[in-house]
Amino acid sequence: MGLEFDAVLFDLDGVVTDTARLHAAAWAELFDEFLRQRAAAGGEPFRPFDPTADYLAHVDGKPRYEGVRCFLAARGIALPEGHPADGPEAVTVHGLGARKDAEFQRRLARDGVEVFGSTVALIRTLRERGVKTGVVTSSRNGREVLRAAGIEDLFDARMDGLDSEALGLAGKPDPAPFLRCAALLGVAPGRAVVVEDAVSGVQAGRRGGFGLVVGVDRGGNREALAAQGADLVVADLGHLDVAGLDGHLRARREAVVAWRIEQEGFDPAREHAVESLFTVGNGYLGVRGALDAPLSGSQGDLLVAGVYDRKQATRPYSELEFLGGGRDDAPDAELVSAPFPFRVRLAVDGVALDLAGPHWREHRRALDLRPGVLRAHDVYETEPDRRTVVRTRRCASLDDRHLLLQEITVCLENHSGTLDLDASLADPDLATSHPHLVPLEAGPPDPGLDVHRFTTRASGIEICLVARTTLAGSGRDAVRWRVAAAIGEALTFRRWVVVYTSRDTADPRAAALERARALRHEAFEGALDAHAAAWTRIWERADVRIAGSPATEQALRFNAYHLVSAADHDPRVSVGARALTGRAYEGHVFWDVEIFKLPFYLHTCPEIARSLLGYRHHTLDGARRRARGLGHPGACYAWESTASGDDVTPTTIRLKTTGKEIPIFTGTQQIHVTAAVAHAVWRYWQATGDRAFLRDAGVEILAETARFWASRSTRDGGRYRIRGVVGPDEYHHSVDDNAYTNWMARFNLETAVRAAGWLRSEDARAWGALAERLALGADEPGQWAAVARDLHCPGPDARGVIEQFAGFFDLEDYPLPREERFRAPISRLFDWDRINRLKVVKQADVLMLLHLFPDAFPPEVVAANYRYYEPLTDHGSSLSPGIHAAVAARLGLREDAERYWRESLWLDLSNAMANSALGVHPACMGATWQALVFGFLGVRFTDAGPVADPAAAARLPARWRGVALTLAWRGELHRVEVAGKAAP
Amino acid sequence: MSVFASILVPLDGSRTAARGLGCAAWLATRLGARLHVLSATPAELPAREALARLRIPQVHWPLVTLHQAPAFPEEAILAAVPRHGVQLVLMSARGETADAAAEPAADPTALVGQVARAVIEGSPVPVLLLPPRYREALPWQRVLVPVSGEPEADEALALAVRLAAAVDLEVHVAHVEDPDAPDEGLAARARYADAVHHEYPAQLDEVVRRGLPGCAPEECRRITDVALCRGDVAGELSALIERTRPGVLVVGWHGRLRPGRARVLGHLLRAITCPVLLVKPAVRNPFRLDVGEALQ
Repeated sequence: MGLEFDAVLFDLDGVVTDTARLHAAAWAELFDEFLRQRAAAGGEPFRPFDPTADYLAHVDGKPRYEGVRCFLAARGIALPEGHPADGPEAVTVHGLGARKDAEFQRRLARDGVEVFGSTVALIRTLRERGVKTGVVTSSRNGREVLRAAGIEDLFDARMDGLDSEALGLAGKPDPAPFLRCAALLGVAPGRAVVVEDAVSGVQAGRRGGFGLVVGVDRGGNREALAAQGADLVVADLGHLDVAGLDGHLRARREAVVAWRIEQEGFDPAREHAVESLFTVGNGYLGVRGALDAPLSGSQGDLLVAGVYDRKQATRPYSELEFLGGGRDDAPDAELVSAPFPFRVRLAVDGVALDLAGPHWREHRRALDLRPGVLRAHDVYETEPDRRTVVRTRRCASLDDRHLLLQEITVCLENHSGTLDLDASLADPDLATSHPHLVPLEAGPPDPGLDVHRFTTRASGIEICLVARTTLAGSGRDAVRWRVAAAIGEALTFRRWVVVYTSRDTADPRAAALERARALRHEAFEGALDAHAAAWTRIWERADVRIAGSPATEQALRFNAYHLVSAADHDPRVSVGARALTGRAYEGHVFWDVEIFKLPFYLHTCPEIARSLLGYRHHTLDGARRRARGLGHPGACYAWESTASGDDVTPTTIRLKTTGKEIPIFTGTQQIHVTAAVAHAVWRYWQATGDRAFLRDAGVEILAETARFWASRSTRDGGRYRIRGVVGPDEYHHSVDDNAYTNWMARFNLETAVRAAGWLRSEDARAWGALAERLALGADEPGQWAAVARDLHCPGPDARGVIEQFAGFFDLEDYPLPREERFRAPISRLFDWDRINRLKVVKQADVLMLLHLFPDAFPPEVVAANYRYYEPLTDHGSSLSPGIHAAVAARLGLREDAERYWRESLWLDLSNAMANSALGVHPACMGATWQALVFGFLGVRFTDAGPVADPAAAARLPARWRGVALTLAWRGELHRVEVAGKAAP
Repeated sequence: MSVFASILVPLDGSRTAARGLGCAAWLATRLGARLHVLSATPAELPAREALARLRIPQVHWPLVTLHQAPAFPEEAILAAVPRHGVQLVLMSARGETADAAAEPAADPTALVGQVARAVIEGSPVPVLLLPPRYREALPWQRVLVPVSGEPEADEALALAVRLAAAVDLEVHVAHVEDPDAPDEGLAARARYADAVHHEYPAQLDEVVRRGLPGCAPEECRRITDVALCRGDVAGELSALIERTRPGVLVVGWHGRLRPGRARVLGHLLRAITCPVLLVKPAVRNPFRLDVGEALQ
């Protein structure tokens, strides 16, 4: 088995060569002379440079001039910067640097260079194992030192202070020199180890995202190295060997990296996408991961499930061009965004601390998946050389879904000053950013409480936010704080935000105030612990272990985090296309809930699956209205629905500039969503045996939807047919006998018959009551059975291929250019009618059948359809790659399966669609989970529980040593473990 | 803080080069900016006389700092940028050397004179370039910004809204899809079409928003029109310019006028009569997300 790393980058002084003492002595010589002269001139006492404490704290590992600046700043001394050409006589930063260099050179010539034998031995062993080695030093004398020590040949690449200067790179703790060295070696930082003895070097290794950072403590620096991010600290590299490094790196990946999504640096153009990824949510609400001190362009929406309103210009730019057609006046047309509840404004001595200004130096955020907490770490430098560190953490409590928690710790590292923290939730741009909201109240009902109350314009839902902010140790609350902070003092502020709406209670203000007032300052950590404990319980059921691939584990956990964060236990709401992570798709609920997301919930948190089906029962009247609107009895679920279940799909869109009008057929023709709900009901019943659900809700859904299908199917030549539909492939409209739709409709009809029979025999009284309430004719189940029996469900032709819909095989061939796969061109929008005549498929359509009915088709039919449709599919939907991965995996097409799996697995983390800024893709996450469970593992459910396909081991990606997960089935949790071929 | 506190106008003594003085003076007045005029003249004249000869209205003289020399080669123009804290260079695409030239070709290397080319490629600050067919139309009413989702376009949009807020203009944004270049623009960013009525408006919105993270809401509100078109980018933009008559076109670009590249810019410079503000992308901060197979 290969190593987990390809390169090791060594610091020079103190790690490879024993020159640290020469440097320390040269620094001491320089500063002592300087300080002595200064003391004599100014009459102040002479305090010498401490060659251990001052050396480690201020100059170790840093570029020379930076070392001068840092030490002088620590002593409160400001010198002119001077010029790089300044000689040792100049009393400038550069002059002192030149003096130190001269002293170092003198000592180097006099004393020579010694190397650490243990380090050299490790380097030689690494090179024998094929590991590349590099040396990275801030010293401008790096080459001389290597030459003097006779070890130039130990390194494949080197970066010293002169190299950094020539390339214009910042020195440590900036990671640039290490990153440059890794690039010279052709190695990704994640697959490289950094070995450092200086705090600044350890910081650089951490910030650079290197796989492992090893600290070498030659004395007195262990805690500082560990605190700044060293994964392990050793006294000497003699304590490490190649296997040890490999083991530590592997352990770190599994324990830390695979549980965390970390972001370093700041790119404003990517900020909206990061906000989506870093959303914290608990199903009741979601808060996008905007900065604690947001930029004016940040989109830190608070989205509360089920709070919809009439459409407003929430996308002010696109709505200048795209003109909607129909349904926009519905009072629940789109999800409402409320103001960012984690907003703070920070200032030190009147200087704002935020990323909009020029003072930030470091910015790092990490979503810790295990406890469900988002952390941030920002470093600011305000004039002159005043360093302030701001650390925050936040979560949406999974223990109390009305509660948000935020902690802000500010440390004025090397200065004292006045800290201002404004914790007001008031949004300065409410009218534009949150146009659905009419403010009702803003301000404190009593000191320390920040109350913000709104009502939505059309739906009349009241939203109330109550916040309390306290400074730890103060014992009081306030919205605005001004605190005198001493040097090095850490000030910790804690904020609770309580959210209630009038959907929860008649008086959300009273409920929020009562809850907020009941919170005790000292209970903050306990509330965080309770939240983390709730996540622990989730991970016990939802975690997936992929031995040998921590990156895959990380992505699967990220997906599970978002799926769990998306779903509530409230049967009045479901999960929108972008969950509660963005405004796109307006919070509308589609078929993807039942077909793509629900299996994850069903086998990890079945109570959530029940709740999601509860939404379909709760909105059955809306589905009935839609069926009536289409001229049929029973229930036809809306293609896009919100609170009431009524259809909110527009009928057209018009582009103002070109005048082009594009009809939207999905609202009236994409009726397969109705069968998707029925399919999920039956699946839930099979997986849980939840009799109460089937009796109280399931049978009614199945009966009403079966009524619809029985009416929607038309008899023609002895067969029933379903005409004029759009299947999952939305490029083709008004098609007849879409195979997927017809098969699903038949399933719906058949299960309705079975469910009716079950209820009649299980609880005749309940059946009687239902039949009476629905005015079900005694012969209706018989009619459903007849329609199911005679419904034309396209089957395989002589080649084994199922025609996607009547006439598909006769469409014009379309040689799908490679570049259009996963990159649907805009012509799909502009030339919709031409696309309708082409043999190009948007997403898995017939393949959906193969996926959902794995036992209905022999392997050769599955293979024939995959071979036929896969080349025609441009994957114009995030739902497509996961299904292709699942089907390809079952067929043993490993290359295809892994390619599609990667597309699906990292869709949001890689921003593969370039649209994650609009919110994450929970249905794709669900499809990815299904591709693993039902594709790679080939899990089937028996009475005894889930069983993996015996061939699963051979299907797993080569790197995987094994897969282990837990699946819920009929009230019990079952462990499924498959060892991969890569298992030791 | 003004968008452009200091504006540089290099003049080589030609009539073509001097066409921009009216615009420069208007802009400087609106912005409260200092106007540095580099005037190439065989013999240095008293400032008042020189300003009068340049036909700069007397009312603007207090804004102007005049620098006279026999010639201002490109090196001198570029050196003046940091020396005078210049934030905008305004110049004609073709000066003295091009005055007598025939009808310019579409190739931007032929459309833009040697000095102008060196300046727009080497300038660290935006350059307001007057096309060969420039016609002064003051005051500006609106600005047109093509966006693509690329960093240079983001910079251009951010600058445009700040300028618009400072000078009281409307901002019209256009995104043109070229079906013959599917890897450029919105299609390249939106890798999946999905539900067009949801995805495309949201994507278009994001293509605009991503350029505005640091802009104040009142600046963003300057955007009053957004257009999505398809076709030849230069042709569609020319048609939009013809229809909406912007005072200035603000374009993000990569910074090099090599033959074969900057095709769109070349066509626009040939066709339009309004000035083009060229904005190069600033150096972006490093950004890293620790995910994916590189981790292992």
